[in-house]
This record gives sequence, structure tokens and C-alpha cells, in this order.
Amino acid sequence: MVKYVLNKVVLAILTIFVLATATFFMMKLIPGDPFASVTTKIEVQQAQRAYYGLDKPVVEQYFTYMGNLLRGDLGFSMKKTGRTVVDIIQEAFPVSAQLGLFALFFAQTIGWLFGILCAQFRNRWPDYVLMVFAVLGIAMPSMVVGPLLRYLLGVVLRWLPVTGWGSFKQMIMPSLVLGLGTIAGGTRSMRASMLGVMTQDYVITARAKGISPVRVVMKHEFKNSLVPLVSNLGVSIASVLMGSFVVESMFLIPGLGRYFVDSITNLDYSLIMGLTVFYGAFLVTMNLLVDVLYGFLDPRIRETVKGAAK
Amino acid sequence: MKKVFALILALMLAVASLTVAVAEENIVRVGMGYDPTTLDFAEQNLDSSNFIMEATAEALIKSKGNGVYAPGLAESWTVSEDGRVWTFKLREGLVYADGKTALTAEDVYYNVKRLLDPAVGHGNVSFTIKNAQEYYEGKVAFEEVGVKVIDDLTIEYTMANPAYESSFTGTAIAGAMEQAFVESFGQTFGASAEAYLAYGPYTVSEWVADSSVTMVKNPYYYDPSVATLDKIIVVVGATGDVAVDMMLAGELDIADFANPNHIQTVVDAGFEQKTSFLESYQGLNINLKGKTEETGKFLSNVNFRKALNLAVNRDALVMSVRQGEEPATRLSHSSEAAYAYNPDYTAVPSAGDVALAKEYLNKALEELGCTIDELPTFELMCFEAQGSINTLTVYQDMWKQNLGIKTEIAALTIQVMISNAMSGNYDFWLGGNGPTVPDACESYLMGYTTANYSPLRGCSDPVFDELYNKTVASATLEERLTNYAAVEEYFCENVMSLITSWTTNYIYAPASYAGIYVADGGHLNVCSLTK
Repeated sequence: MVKYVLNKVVLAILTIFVLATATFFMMKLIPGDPFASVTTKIEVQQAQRAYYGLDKPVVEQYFTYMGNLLRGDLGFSMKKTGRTVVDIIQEAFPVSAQLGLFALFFAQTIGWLFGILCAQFRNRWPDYVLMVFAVLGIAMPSMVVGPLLRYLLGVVLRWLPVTGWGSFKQMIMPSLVLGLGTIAGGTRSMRASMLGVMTQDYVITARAKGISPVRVVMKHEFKNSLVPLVSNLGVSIASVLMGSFVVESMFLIPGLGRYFVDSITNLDYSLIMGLTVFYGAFLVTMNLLVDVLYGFLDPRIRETVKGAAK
Repeated sequence: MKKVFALILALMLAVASLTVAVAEENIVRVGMGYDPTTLDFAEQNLDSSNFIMEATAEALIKSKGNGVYAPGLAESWTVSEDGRVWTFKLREGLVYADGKTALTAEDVYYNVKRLLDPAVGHGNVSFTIKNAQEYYEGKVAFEEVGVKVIDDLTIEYTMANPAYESSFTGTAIAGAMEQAFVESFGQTFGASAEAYLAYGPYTVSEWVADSSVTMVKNPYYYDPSVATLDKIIVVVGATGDVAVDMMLAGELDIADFANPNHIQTVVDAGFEQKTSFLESYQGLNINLKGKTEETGKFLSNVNFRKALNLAVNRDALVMSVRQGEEPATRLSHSSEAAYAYNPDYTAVPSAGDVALAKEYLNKALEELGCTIDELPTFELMCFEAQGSINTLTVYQDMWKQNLGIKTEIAALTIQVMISNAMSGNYDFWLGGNGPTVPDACESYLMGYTTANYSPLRGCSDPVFDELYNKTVASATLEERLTNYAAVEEYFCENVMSLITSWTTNYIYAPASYAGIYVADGGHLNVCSLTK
């Protein structure tokens, strides 16, 4: 198992290196530069480029960047003057992560619950109603649902704050809006997985033994349905924890989401690189964790790894 | 039972006293679009940072809005006859918000020296001081630059052109920075509340990046009566729909709006317009040399440009796709000081004049020896936002229908658009420019002079150059604005740019609020607000 994990770690590092290299050169292919401006004098623009080392050959810039990256130095943002990329990630990521976890918890709980019910009532009206409801969550974009909820719950009913971040009340609305889109996916995956498990011999045996339906569903069907779902969880967690431009802007949440968009619009090279490397490393780590978790959840995988090691 | 009752009563009293304490705190929450990004005078350029500068810093002269000026860091000043040499006497006993560091003329000098440091390339660098550009280009030593400390309380500026009070209201060239403090933070100076040393009526107590900036009274400010609020909170991102909802829910007190729908909603909820400011001149930049030789042949013809200008119905344009803006019939807006020096001037009717446009087109075709069928297709360039594309579609339709001129729209990413603009790779380019005080010379007209010639606009007109140079060399403000009237007329009559609308922002707050004003450069000031 240790060798299996080590292999995965080496592969992860290699992935991040390739990602950083590819991003660096692709970023340089975008026309313009962060200091191009029609209102700033040419000599000032040149001084700014020189200050950030952009006047040097691209290959030299690449080696400098990779050298700094190995030391954990992601540099200063070129647009958020005086702030390092590490500072920006350190401040914004916990906020996005918190929002993402709330949203994911909300979406997965509802999605899985809907999926279980849909499978139990397969091709009957509860199945259709819940699927329609779940699909509505995907069909209505957050930029529509968000302002509507904000107006209804914040302005008209005054139940929840309209914007802001910090208190539990402030987290409810954005988490709901962010989670809505993933409910449908969760419902569909759980439904399909449950349907696959429901016809297995051990489930039929359990039912034949007269075990209560709730116990059969929770102990035999639900638990075993989770295995294929967990494999997708890594990517879902990584993407949802990185923040959402739309939801964060709508509820004034100081998360990471807007930086992904702004850094590219402004061609903030160091922030683009920092965010990509961070996102890549996070994604790779999550996948690694999922692989390990997968082994724990499914004894067959553990055995395969052991067998391969022998 | 009595004990329980007493406990409940005590709790209720505690909660009530807490509520009273919160209610008594005199706080104002102001919505701003973007995070300040920095509080470094040499770099900051957003509305939010300007707003914070207004409250936490001060220049030698203070702008009180509407062309009124008052002593700031300087209690008095003298000006040479030619308007170029300004000698300022600083107030005695000035200290920073730490309560111990004295603010002297050396700090004002250091602020300028740092701004002009060519090794850094600060975004707000200004070459209005004598020899500033030469120093920046490495031609002279800093000692040759026109800023000199006479003594601890006296500093002298020698300017490249005659200057006015408005030249010394910005912190970039007329503020103060404590060298040891700045250097102790190095590159991170101005990037957090801790890395900023205020000296205005308020000081920054907390800055949560991309969320809020909180300012509290500075007890060491020389005039404690200026700060009337306990706290000013800048709420980042609170604009448009979000700001409206926040105001309706009681989470925001002050915000600026341009959209008539937003304005109507907040007015219906009891908010009132307190002040306004011109944000930008909007329209089409024209590359007088054209993107190609073929288009340049037409765009360099003044009658052709006049035809294009008159064929645009600005009223319809604003009503359909630029709601909240005003149709521009000249460069200067009525809120600008320059407008008053030539109030009757109108360059173009807001509804356009199609008949006259056709006359000019025929004249142009005759001069160029062409027929309408020989006209090339012109390119209209913009940023790839739907609003911009809609705007260009209106120009496109009007020119096609009124004059039979064909155009195509090129909606590009911001970087490609800037790159094309910089290299003159366009015919028309949709864009805006912010105003400057006392007139639009620095913000707009300078870009059309031969001395500042770049491939950007393809412009080189000796008559315009002469009028421009005469304006900026005016010894008094009155003389300058009189001369400006002439250069503005020449600019508009020759359609060097196709200005079509003015963007004005309107500041809304509860009806009972007083003391809100907009200083030079559109800087909102609420320091002395009373509720």
C-alpha cells in the first residue's frame, strides 16, 4: 500500500510540473501584457515591465519562475500591488473552501437522498417528481436563482442577510445557490448506483431474510452504492472548494472565485500561475486521497494492490 | 422563581444596553465597486482607494468640490507671477496617525522622489513637475527636478507649465510619506492596514481584502472637528443590483448609481441624490490614419468625419443602449469648470442632422474623387462585452441607414483590443476617458498632440498643437479656461474623436444625510457627514 501511495505522489508531482510548464508558456502566448495601457506613457510601461522581469527572454523568465516555485515563492501579484500570491490564496481560499463545503454538504445530502428515493420508487411518480426537481436546480443558473433568493429572503422577508460572510446566517443563501447545480448530478449518480446494487445477490438475500427495508437500504444498498460515487467526489470537492465567481460576486464573499476570472482578464501573470499551480496541486491531492479512500471502502481494491505488490 | 425572573431581567437589560451602544455608534457604510488593491499614493487609482485617500490622507491643498480650494497640509502658499513656482508653508505640529511621527516637508519631498523612481515604474507617475520626465529618462539627477525642501515647514515646487490649486490636491504629487515607515514594508507598503500610515481625519483600522475597509477617527489630525463619524466602512463589491438590495435591506447607506432603474428603486425607498460627478467621456476613438491605407484616406478627411458625427442620433443611442448616460454634444460636461467659459457652444445636435451629414459626405467624396460605392468597409473595435457590441450595432445601423456606410464589428478580448489600439490597428475604437481638473487637456486632448504622437490615434495637427500648448502654458486659471474653450472647439469641429455620451454617477444616501461632496477627480468625501 505504501508503494502504491508513493507511486501516486511521484505521479502527482510530475503532473504539477507539467501543468506549471504548460500554463506558463500558454499564458505567454496570450497577446498583450499586464502593463499595456493606452493611458500610461510608454516609458512608464517599460519601467513596469522591467520591474517584474518581463523584459527578459521568456525562457529565462520560466527558469526564474520554476526556481522560485521550488522554494514556495509564487511572487507578487502584478495588479494587487504589494500583495503576494501566497497571501491572496491564504486569505481567500479558506473562505471559498468553507462556502464550497457547505454547498457540497447541502447538495450531496439532498442529491443522495433524492437518488435513494428515486431508486426505491423507480419509474413511479416520486421518481419523476424528484428528478424534475433536481434537474430544475441545474436548469436555473445561479445568476437567476441568487438575486431572486436575495430579494425574497433578504429584502422582503428579512430572514437572512443580503450579503457578507462570517456568520452562519450569511452562509445559508450562497451555499444553497452554489449547491443547487450539483443536486441533479448527485441524484442521478446515486439513483443509477443504487439501481445497480439493488439487484445484487446479497441485497436479495438480505430482503429474503426479512431484514427491515430501511436497514437493507442503509446498510447494504446505500453503503455499497457509495463506492462509484466516491471516485467522482475528489474532482467535485476540488472544483467546488475553489470558489465561484458568480456566487461570490452576488453575495460579496471575499473568496478565490473572482481571482480566477480577474487574473486572466488583467493578465496578472503571477496570479494566473499561482492559482493554476495551487488548483492543480489541490486537485491532484484530492484525487490521491480519493484513491486511498477507495481502497478502504472497497476491499477488492485493497486486495488487488496487495496482490500486485507481491 | 424570583431568581429566575431577576436573571431574565438582567439579561434583558444587558441586551438592551448592548443594542443602545450599537445604535449610538455613528457608522456609515459606503458601497464601492472594487477593492482598493493598494493604499500606496504612487499606485492607487480606483474609486475605492480615492475614497479612502480622501478620508485618511491629505495633499498640500484640499479640494472642497465645485472649484473651491482650502489649505490642506499647507496652511499657506505663494505663487510666482508665471504660475510655475509654488512655495508651500506647512502647518506646524503635523503628526501621523501613530501619534509620534512628525510630518515635515521632507516627507512631501520623499513622496515625490519615490513617485518618480524610474526603477519601479509607479502607475501614477506624473511629469507635471519641471525636469520630472528628464529625470525619469535618466537625463538629469533628481536634484534637477523641480521640488526643493527649504526648511522643515517649507517646500517649493517648480512646475513644467503654469499650475493651479488643482495641481496640488492629489496625494500622488502633493501628499506625504514617511520614508522609514515605507522602507520598513518594502514592496508590501500600502497593501494592508498595518502597512499604511494615515494622517487625514480618519485612519484605517481594518482592511479585509476584497471585502471591506474600516476607517475610524484619527485623534492626531490637526482639526478634530472634521471627522464627524465614528466609523466609515467601505463595502467592496456593493454596486448595481447588489447595492440596491443592500440599501433596501438596511445593510448599506451610501452608493453611486448610473442605471435609471436602480435610481428609481432607491428613490422609491426614500433615498435621495446627494451629489454627482462626471465619470467619463464616452464614444468612438478615431484612428485618423485608418487601419489600412484605404480606410485612412477617408478617416483623415474632416468632412467625412463630420458626416459620421452628424449621422449619429445621440438621443436614440443613449435611450436604446446607453441608459443612464447623457447625450454629449461637445467635450466639456456642464458640471466641469471649463463649460462655464463657453456655455453656449454646441458641436453637434444631440438628435444628429442627417441632411447635413449627407451634404458633408458628398463634399468628402468629391474631395477624394470617389463615389459612395467605392467606400471601404470600416472596422468598429470594442471589448467583447455585450453592452459594447450593442452600442457598436447602433452606430453600424445609423451609418448604414443614414449614409450607406458599411462597417463590421470586431469584439475582442481586452488585451487584444489594447494591443490593437496601441499599434493603431483599428479604424474606430469604442472607449471612454475619465475627466481631469481643471479641464480635459491632460486626460483627453494630450493624446492628440504631435508631441505625444503615437501610432494610437494617427493624429498630427499643428493648429491643434498650437492651441493645446497655448492652453497648458496659460499663467492663470481664467486664461487657461478661456484658451481651453478654443482648443475644445477646434477638437470638436474637426471631429478628432466622436464623443457621443457622458457617464455621470449619482450618489444616493438617506434623505437626512448632509455634508457629502465630490472633490477634484471624482473623489467622494463623507468625512464630515451629519445624519
